[in-house]
Amino acid sequence: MNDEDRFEALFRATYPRVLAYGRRRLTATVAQDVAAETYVVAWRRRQQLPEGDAVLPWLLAIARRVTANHTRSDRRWRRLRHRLSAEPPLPVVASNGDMPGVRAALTRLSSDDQEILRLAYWDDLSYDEIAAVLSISANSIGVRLHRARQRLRTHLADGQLTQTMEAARGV
Amino acid sequence: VVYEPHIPIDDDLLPLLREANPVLADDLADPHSTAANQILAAAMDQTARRLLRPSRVALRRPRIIGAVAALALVALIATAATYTLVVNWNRHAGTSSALDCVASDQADAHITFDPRADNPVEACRRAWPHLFGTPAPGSLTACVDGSPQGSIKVYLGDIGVCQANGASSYGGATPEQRRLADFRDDLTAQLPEHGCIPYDALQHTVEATLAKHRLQGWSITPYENTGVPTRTGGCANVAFIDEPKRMIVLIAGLAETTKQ
Repeated sequence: MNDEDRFEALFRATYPRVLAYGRRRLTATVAQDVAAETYVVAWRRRQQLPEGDAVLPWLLAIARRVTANHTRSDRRWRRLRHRLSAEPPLPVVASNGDMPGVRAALTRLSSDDQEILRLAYWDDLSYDEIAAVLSISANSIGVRLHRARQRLRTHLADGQLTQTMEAARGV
Repeated sequence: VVYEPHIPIDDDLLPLLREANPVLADDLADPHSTAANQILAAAMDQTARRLLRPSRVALRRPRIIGAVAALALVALIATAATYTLVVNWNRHAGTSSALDCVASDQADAHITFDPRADNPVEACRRAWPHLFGTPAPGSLTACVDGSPQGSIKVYLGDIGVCQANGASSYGGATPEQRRLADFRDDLTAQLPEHGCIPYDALQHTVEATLAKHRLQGWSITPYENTGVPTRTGGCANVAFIDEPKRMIVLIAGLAETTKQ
């Protein structure tokens, strides 16, 4: 099997999850761009492609960097547009009213906490895979996840209190 | 106000988190869809670029000692000439809308770049902490690599790093590259966020926008290598812009046009 065939097989096997990674963090259109850029980089580094199960975290680590770069550019663009048009900046992530505050609470966490929770519970990665994506020790993942969950619970509780108070005030 | 928290314990929190997942397992994309094929084709398009990179040519061992000495002399002269050329010669990039920030042999990042408003070193310096998780190093140098597409690479170190990597120092953006950046913005503004543009209409728009920005010698061509039909109906979009070849590549047969 030559490089092209190997890469296409890898692409077909991983594309749904790489795209989903983007869709869980960005708009659908931007997620497509991030997936595209991820595979451009992967192709460029194909000599360093890991074997077997290590491929997906390797790709997601690339996608994470591409996403960070995009988010930074997007923030710059929004600031510029805001200055030029004086229109209010768009919210980065809208909370879903059907989900009682979980997504809203997530957005109130630090980006590190958000990312580890999403990798674990949305992207369904193992501790070892999360460690590979984040380039940190696998031993620390359990502790980090636990702390992130604790903080998420705190924000969920805050959200419930706010909702209860607003309901009591008839807001 | 009666506050009755029902803060979920871990076992309850996990299902909540999973339910909040915006993309469930059933919603995963088809890896054989048109969009997937488009992305694969765009990634593999790097093939041609990589294959065209200068390759190392193995030298045959000369049989005569005199020939060895002559070769050594030629090599010495060539090295000196190359050094002079590379160190003193600023080169314009062949591809001006993106660049690579290179942290090491194992870590680089591809970022977009606006040749009108930015310089490569500052672009990498700002992005560095986000890309590599460390503060930007003190010394970075912008180079143009030896590939036919002439990519901008920002390396750690001073001007000597360009030579060390077989590259030339970056000579800034050309007037045409600035007009090309204007062209990209203008074309993007003309394309709808969503909807459908037929191939011919898109081609007409691209032609008019090229002329408006005085980009001469550019061609418009359909993308034939994606495994999807081109120029046979459906919606069209710009697949990519091949700056070194002065080529705008369009793709058709899409279900919907989305802004690139």
